[in-house]
Amino acid sequence: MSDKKNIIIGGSAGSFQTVVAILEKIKKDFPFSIFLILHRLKNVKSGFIEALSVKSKLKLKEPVDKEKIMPGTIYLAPSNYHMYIEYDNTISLSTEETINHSRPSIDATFVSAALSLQNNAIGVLLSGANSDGAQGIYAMHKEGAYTIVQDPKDSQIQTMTQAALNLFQPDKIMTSEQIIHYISKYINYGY
Amino acid sequence: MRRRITDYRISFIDFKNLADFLKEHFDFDLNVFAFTITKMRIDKFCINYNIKNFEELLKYLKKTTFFNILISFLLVETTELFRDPDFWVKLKRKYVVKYIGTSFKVWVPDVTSDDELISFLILLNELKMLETTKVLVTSFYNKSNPEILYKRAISEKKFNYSLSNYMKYNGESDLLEYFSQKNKSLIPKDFLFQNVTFKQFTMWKDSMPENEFDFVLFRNRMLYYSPIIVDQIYKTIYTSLKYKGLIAIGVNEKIQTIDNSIIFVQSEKNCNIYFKK
Repeated sequence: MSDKKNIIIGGSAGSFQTVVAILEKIKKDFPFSIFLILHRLKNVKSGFIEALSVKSKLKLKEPVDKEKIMPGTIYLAPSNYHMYIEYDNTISLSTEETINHSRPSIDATFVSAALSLQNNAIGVLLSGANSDGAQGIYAMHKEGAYTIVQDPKDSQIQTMTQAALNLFQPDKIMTSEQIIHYISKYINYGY
Repeated sequence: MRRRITDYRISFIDFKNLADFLKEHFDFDLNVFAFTITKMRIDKFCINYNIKNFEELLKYLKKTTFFNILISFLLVETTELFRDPDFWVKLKRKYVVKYIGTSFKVWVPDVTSDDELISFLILLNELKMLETTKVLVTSFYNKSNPEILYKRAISEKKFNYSLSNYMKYNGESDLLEYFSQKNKSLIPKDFLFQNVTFKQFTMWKDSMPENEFDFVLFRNRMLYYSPIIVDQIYKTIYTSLKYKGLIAIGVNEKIQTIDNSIIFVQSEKNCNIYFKK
């Protein structure tokens, strides 16, 4: 892998602890951006960011539409919006219909990352209760991104991760612990 | 066969060629829209109409009716009645209420079969302001008869009839009172539209009379435009507003313009209602 790849992490039920553990382990001022798409209740605007950032000193935010993507920043897909990564290094949001009953949809962000970042991205799919994200991480894989899927046997709920593995063979299939170690090492040391 | 989000039908070069084609044949500028969302929507459009590739799309587009369908597809619905209930509570109790007893003039741009418009009309009804408020509804795609096309669109729409949003907004009656049922669809009742005028208007080309409106409802509309057109659109809205007139934008939007002559001031912290300075 070359460095400075943006990291896009998608998850749903059973993924929250893994995401928190990654955020706890990474240092400030990393030279790229992280995008989190986590299924959450709509109309719950507060609490989620705080819960994620409580043990982390990182810059974590819900982006506004057309916000410029900055290194060292973690972007959390806002509740009830899809989040897209645009070619001009900005984020765009959308209120389009739900995808796989989800808004934000992991597939939507993954597919936009496949189109705009191609092989300059790492896609990570974690535990979840529906198949959202499976098609998207496959799209990232087809465009040359590095892809990691949590081992379904290790996933609290395996529907999401198994749906991805039914489509393709990712670069890595890892347990939650291995993903935490791998991603934090990559972010902190670039390998 | 189940449609998949990863079914690409047009490449980036195709997109550019499509933009050139639409400009040349219909004087329609595809480049004013946010690129990734628009490309993904056109891919979805092709899947919906079983269009296999760009050449086939061009063949269809030579018919004007098909062009209109494609363009209407680019307008994204807001998907929920009373989306962000807290916003609607504040809008009603703190802002719109001040216009009771005045001739309140409102503009709702870029409307399709729109939940925002219906939510706003219900709000006006609850404040007994339907008769005194003039609402202009504009859309860029329907040149022939905007009202007929709008009513057709809402008759085909499956309203996301969100009771929980309406309850959080503290709605004053049964939400169903505002709808009639037709062929398993919910159609907003005609009385809501008693003071609504429909007009074709292209946000990036046309201009409105100056100092015309007290309020512009523009939530989650700029999302679908390219950053290159933002200033121009806000300028159009700014000019159309009266002094201290209000504009509402989405909860994850921010008014950011380069043009120094466009001065919108946030009405209060963490509120997506701005006023014209």
